[in-house]
Amino acid sequence: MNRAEILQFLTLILQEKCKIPVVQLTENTHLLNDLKLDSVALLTLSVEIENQLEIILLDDPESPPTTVKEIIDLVAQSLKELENQ
Amino acid sequence: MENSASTIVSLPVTMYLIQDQTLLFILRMTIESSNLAPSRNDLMPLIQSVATQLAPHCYSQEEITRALMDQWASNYHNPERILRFQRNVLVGSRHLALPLEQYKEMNGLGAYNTAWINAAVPLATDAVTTLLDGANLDPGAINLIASTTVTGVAVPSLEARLMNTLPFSRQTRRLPLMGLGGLGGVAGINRVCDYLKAYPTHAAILLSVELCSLTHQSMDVSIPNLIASGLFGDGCAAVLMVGDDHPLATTSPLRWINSRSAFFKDTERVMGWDIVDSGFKVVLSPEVPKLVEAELPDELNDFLQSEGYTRKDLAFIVAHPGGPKVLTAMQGALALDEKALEKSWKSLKELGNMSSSSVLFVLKDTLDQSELSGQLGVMVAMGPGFCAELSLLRGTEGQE
Repeated sequence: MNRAEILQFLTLILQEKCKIPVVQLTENTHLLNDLKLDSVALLTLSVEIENQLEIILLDDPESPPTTVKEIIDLVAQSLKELENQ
Repeated sequence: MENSASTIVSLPVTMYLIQDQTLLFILRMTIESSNLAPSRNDLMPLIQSVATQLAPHCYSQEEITRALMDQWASNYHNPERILRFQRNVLVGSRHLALPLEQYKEMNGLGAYNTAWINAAVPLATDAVTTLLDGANLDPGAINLIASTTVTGVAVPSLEARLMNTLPFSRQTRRLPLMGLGGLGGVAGINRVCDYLKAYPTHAAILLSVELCSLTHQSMDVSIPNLIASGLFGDGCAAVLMVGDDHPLATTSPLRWINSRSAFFKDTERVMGWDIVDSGFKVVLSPEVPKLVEAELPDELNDFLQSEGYTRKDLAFIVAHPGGPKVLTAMQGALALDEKALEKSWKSLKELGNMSSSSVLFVLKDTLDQSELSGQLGVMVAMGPGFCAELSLLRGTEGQE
């Protein structure tokens, strides 16, 4: 799964599971300012990513991701670790 | 002046002359709506006291979350994330109707509802007994019992069952209110006070029993159910209210001045239940705090203005502790400092959200801990509809 595919995957989850009307998602999209993603929606997004890809995102609870880029980084990192196992 | 005087003088004569019953009725209505009948628009019933009763089994948030995860872990690739979220709900402990291990065996609407009735009746009996003992009032002196709940169904309804456990008069009026949810504590007080304006010599009880744990849906792993499971607790509260001409009116601490209901059209899916074979499946949308922010400030301002007040006149706020996001939204939208809602925050942290009972716990704390004499306050709750209910209150000044 490359970054473009992860972006497409995130768009689908945001639309279908988080019920957020995403027009065009980019890596620079801000989760709160642009998408109005609150903590419950962020939980939904994280749980769906982890359940569907069967990975564990290693985000810092004290400093949750704020942009789409940061989420893609977390997904890419977890997928890479999975490949290495 | 001449005309009205002659109308009054000639009324008895006219009564004799008119044989037609319809005309007589119209005439009677004219007299009643004129200054000849006494006006009681100034009636403001009183809140005499509140008694609360917690469900018997108390657990920490960690214990409840661990038990939930025993059921749910297989549904999440990363259960630790769920545990972390539940810890962040800011609820420290909750009281439950049953021992934690019994919920694992519970399944289906019938089993949950039977457990609800079995637990609700003794809790209600204890709360109402405490309430009446505190006021030194006999159950037979109560004219109306209203009951509010959203967590179980009973037919005969809860207050009817209460009339079999305590010696109420057989003429006691009953008013079951089902489906108001978190709104029910404030809406219940408002509807009872509406009644007491019509019957100023009467005494009435509002009873709220909410056993939220008995709506638990073990198969529902949705995020709304995850939030509900981390937030809601079990409790019961009863409020004694009396009309202006009741003997207890002179010793009651709070006057109810007026109420405001506000319904927000086309918001049915914001909060509620889907009733399914397994029980009550929660409907809970992230829109709730947004609606608080969007609707509450103007509604409160308008209500206060209609009564001749502004927000600056408010000395206390009794707010339903719906959840951390709801209280934060309320605080922000009404530009309140943290202290203004501290009793609601405390109740949420110690007991969770007990639906309609919660605001009555906060009301009891306010009565017990605050100097209310002469102070103006507001009670506020929001709930399924989606809607809001407000009461304007004032502390009485000594022996009125």
